[in-house]
Amino acid sequence: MAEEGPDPALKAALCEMAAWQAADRATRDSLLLAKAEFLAEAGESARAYETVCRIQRFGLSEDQRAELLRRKLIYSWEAGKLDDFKVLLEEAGKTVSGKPRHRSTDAAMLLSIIPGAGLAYAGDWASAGRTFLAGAGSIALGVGAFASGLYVSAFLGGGILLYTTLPAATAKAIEAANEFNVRSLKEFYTPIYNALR
Amino acid sequence: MNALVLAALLLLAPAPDAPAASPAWPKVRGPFSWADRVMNSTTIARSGGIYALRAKTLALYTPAFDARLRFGPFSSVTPGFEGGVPTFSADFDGDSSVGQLSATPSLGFFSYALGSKLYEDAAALLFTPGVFAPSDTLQYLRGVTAYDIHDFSLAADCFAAIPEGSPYAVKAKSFLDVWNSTPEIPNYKPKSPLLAGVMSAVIPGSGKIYAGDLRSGVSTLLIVGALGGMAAESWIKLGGRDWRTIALSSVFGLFYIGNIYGSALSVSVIRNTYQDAEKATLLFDLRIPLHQF
Repeated sequence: MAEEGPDPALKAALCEMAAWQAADRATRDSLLLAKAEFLAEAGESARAYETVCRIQRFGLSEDQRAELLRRKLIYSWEAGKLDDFKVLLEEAGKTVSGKPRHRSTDAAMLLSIIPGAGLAYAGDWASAGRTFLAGAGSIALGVGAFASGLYVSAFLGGGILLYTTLPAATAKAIEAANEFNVRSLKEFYTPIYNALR
Repeated sequence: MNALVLAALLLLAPAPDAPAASPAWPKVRGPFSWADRVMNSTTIARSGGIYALRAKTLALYTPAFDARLRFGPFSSVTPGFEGGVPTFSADFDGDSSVGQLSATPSLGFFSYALGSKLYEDAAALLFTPGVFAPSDTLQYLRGVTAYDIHDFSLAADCFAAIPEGSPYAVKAKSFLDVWNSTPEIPNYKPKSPLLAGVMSAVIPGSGKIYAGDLRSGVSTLLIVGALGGMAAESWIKLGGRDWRTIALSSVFGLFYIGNIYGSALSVSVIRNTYQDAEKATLLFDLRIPLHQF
């Protein structure tokens, strides 16, 4: 459907304007669907998804409903709205065997007490290695300072390191766990998305 | 030796990640603007309290998108898009065509689009050159759209282009009056950078607390205090001439001086932040019926 000429975002806006002026519902729905397609072409899947969600299902034929659902599934996937994608999949009557791999953010947070363990659990091995080395190194230095008789320095230095690095490492581990879950969910549903295309 | 490496490690300790997106921070004006740019460019500075304070008002400054970046300058004609009548068809199920669409300026549509938060659509139509002929109405609609996406700078540019005598001139001027003003900050007593510096020289971090940045002040107190403790212990146990003492004292000295300078700077930064936030609030709550076309 895409043609040469104006920017897809402009075409989408024109569709919106024409939909606003449309005399009947069928024309309005057609234009909203066209707008969604232009937005997807422009790489604005989130807006495309919002646009198709504005089309009401009642009164549509079976084929039209199926097409609308397919579009919603595609755009929600492309927009990264995986929770919506799962709900729409249930609506479509698709059952998927198995479960995507999951990492608990609570576990990642608790494990972060051991330098690098939370990140390793969340699958971010590179950051886990760096954090572990920094943690192990600082512990070794603290022990060394203590052995040299610099007790206050060992305590204060360790305290500062803990104060500056532990919250950041914990936050990063939680973020990594969330990213892992999104990635895992995407991998799990990729075959369905490919089939929809 | 160990204490020195410990201090070096401390300096190299990873700071919390900087924000992923890099929207422009509110501009700091005045003599400290250059220093603010330097501080903004460092990862460590972004974890400080001043920036956390700024983050609270960031949403007010972050436009949904940059219309200028996306649609380019206002005055040129898009190739293949002449006369304001683009043609394309749209099919729902492959059978029916809805025919030709035309870009007719309609104030009613823009009222609907802005009211329904379809800002991107309104901006695409208004900011793309060649869609509508240049007019005061177009300029005003651009300004209102920019205002609605909280891009006040772009809105000011659009409103400034409206000539006197236009029916929109009064509203545009009302907006520009607020935009160009330096509003007073309610419940904020002017602070002295000198006093903040002196306070931080006596008790590290206290100047920042005085300036209104409690979190950064406490953080500074802990870090500078701990470094001071380490340097003092090394001085007592190893002597003033020992290289470890010299190294630790140098690190402490750097942090100590930085703390004084940072405290003096934070007075200006926080004042400007409050001022920008106040201006944004005033613009946000503008009591001018901009949407009545």
